[in-house]
Amino acid sequence: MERAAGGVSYQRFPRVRIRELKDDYAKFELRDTDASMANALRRVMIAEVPTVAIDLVEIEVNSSVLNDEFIAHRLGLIPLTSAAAMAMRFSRDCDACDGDGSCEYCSVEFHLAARATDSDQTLEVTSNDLRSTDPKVCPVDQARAYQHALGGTEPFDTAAAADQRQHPLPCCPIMDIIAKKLGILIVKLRRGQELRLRAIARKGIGKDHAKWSPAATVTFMYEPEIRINEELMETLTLEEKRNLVESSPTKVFNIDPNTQQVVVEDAEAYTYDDEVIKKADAMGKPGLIEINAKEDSFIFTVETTGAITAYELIMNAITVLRQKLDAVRLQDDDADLGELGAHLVGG
Amino acid sequence: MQLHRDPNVLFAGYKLPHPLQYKILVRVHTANQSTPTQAYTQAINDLDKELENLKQAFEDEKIRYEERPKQGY
Repeated sequence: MERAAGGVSYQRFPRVRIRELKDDYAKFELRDTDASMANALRRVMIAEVPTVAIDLVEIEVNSSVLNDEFIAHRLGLIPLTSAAAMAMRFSRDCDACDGDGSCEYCSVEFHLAARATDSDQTLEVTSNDLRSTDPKVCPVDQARAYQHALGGTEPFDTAAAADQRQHPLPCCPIMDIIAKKLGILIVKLRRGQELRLRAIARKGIGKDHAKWSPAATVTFMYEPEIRINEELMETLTLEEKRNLVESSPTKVFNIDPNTQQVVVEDAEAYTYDDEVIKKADAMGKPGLIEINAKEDSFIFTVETTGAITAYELIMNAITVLRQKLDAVRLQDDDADLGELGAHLVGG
Repeated sequence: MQLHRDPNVLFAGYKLPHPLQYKILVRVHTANQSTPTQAYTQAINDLDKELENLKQAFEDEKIRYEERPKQGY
């Protein structure tokens, strides 16, 4: 049973190429790994990367047309800037408080007070009326308005963004005007109606409630590899070539206007619908076009809600995945192994 | 999947005895050059290293991506 612990490594070295990277959008290629890794990343990005969202709401006054629960639900769905979420504690395992959201390590308090006074117009209460007690955590459009007021930083100038988060600007009227248009509507108030509440935002994950999911969409597709049998293609008339090109529901192929050859215009537009292959078969030319999915090559599209940047989402997903791996490591003196352990030693 | 890359692993699979119970059984059968615990630990270490590597790859690629417009791509 005494064997060297270090076995042979079968580690892979995935390659990455970023095609596009914006604040809340990323498109990249992931190569030299398999579907289990790609899918694990996708699932972790959607359901296990933590963010901060409003979770507890204490309503002081609500004379609006919406009931308390309805408003609490709407507040929960507002994306809050969550760059600090990874370092925060889940309130269920916070020692500093009883998990009731009364400490700075696991919660952020918000206040909202709005009253439609003498105006005849309805008052729109938006996410911009939420006042945070922690400048690091605020509704995403407020954060965007800060950025806008600062003269718009570069999309991936995270150093500036971090600096900004540390030194938030006091509310200025210009910023308020910009923000008013962007805010997320919570409720509309008629003259005389009032809404006053205290809300507590907590760290959570998308698995517990979708409001904590930082991902708007995360998808990946296999990279298609399209091969045209040029020899067979030569036997087709121009009309037949046109029909073949037209048979694909997405614009994958085209005809070169000079050489009149069928060329692959956009391989990634292919939706694995098999239509061109069926068409080739129907034309009596099986094997004219062959399309294979590259099993180790993925094209990812990541969109976030704005709670964290797309880049942060990817990085945090990797971190979370590594934490999960640590959780399933065997302990040296694994008591749970019990009978099995004895069996292994015996064997 | 990582376990399947190890040629000493004859069988690797998992089952969820009950969908409402958070308990998963992993079955690993190895050839006698290895042991299941060894193969399991190795697979986890490899995956961890793969992710560490991936993280680094992302960081490097981000820097490269941001350099790209300056080079007139």
